[in-house]
Amino acid sequence: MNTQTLFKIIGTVALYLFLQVFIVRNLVFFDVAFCFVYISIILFLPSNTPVSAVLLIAFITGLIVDMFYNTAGLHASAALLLAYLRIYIIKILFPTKGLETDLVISLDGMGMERFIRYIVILTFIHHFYLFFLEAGSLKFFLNTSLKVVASVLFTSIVTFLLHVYFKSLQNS
Amino acid sequence: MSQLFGILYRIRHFFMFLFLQIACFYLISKNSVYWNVTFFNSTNAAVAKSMKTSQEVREFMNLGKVNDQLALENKKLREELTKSRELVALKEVGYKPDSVMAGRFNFLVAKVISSTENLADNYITLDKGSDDGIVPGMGVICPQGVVGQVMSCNEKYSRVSSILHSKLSVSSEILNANLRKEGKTALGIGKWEGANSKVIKLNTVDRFKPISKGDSVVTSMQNSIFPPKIMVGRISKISAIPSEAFFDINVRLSTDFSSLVYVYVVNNKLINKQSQVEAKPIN
Repeated sequence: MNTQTLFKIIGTVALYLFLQVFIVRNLVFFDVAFCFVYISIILFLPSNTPVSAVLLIAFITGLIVDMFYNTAGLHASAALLLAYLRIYIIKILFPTKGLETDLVISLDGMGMERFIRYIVILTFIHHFYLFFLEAGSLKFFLNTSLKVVASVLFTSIVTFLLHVYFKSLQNS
Repeated sequence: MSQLFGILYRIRHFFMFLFLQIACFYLISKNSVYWNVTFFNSTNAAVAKSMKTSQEVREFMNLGKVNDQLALENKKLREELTKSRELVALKEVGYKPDSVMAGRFNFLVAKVISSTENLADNYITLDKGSDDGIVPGMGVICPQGVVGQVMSCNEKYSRVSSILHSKLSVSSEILNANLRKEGKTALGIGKWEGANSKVIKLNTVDRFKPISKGDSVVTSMQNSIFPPKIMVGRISKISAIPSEAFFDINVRLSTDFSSLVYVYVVNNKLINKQSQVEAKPIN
């Protein structure tokens, strides 16, 4: 990892956090569809980033989001789980390409179908854990499940579109 | 031995993950109780300042709504003023209102800089703190009705847990003509159940009180946090389960948490005296 990638990562973190805190935080559809676009930070880290660095980035990102949502620890915990499971999901989804060979996590590097599968699965893990931890019990199981499904759809679409948009900005 | 170290080294990431997760759960367990550390929530100065900026933009778009709210409140105050003037003539019942008691509440206007209404526990951040005399435990109301209770504050900002919080309950009372005629009161405890951000449950109202759908629910006299007769909402559904002694009541909240701008923090000047009396053992 060189300085250039480091700056790139810091830039991405700042950009997505800004989006999350100032814009997407105010977007909630029908009281059930939330958008946690900050998980893009963890999803699109280069696949050769050291695991400990991924965990730390996830923890710090989560804590900052928590400060704005008044939910100390909740988002940090969910982001950590996401960061930890990411390597295993990559291994399971793309068995032919090990972590040693550089798998580029992007639309061009993975192809449409696998890229969408990657986003949706990880978003689902994150949201499922987040909403059930937040609810604290299975008392409102149906309501929480509805939140999970609606939010996974919303976040996945926004994550996908933003990724495509930022990539096209870079290329032009 | 070296094999053991080898295994430990191989799962070092898991240990790091575990350690950070434990830190997270420590924060989660601390978050919902009163505590003094304000770094990890929205009373943190940097966080509060940036949220204030984003709120100012939203506020500008809400100006029309705020005007309506203020105008409505003025109207209501005017009505109350005339009513209380008329009531002066009715003082011959024997109860002498004490001016200190009647004037025990004073209000402090604060501005909302961030709020949520659809999480499992909802908080509101205000732009006034202990410098302006706010202490944790004070009630918060708005022109439309009750809002919540101050949970923690620093010099400049304070955090309010709104009615939409699993740990907060409001002692309330139902008002209607039948009850007034019979000279009864129907007291209950309003508590949010967590599912719908517009409806709370009213518990412990017994089944033989003549109440009906549409009755107003206000804060009760037995309340040291909120002044009496502050609007909570209207009854939207009543059902009586035969085996239970109480009604199952849904109350539609009168406060619209999504468009809060100005709120009043309620300071009960006599709350220390009251708790002093209540805490004294009977001998």
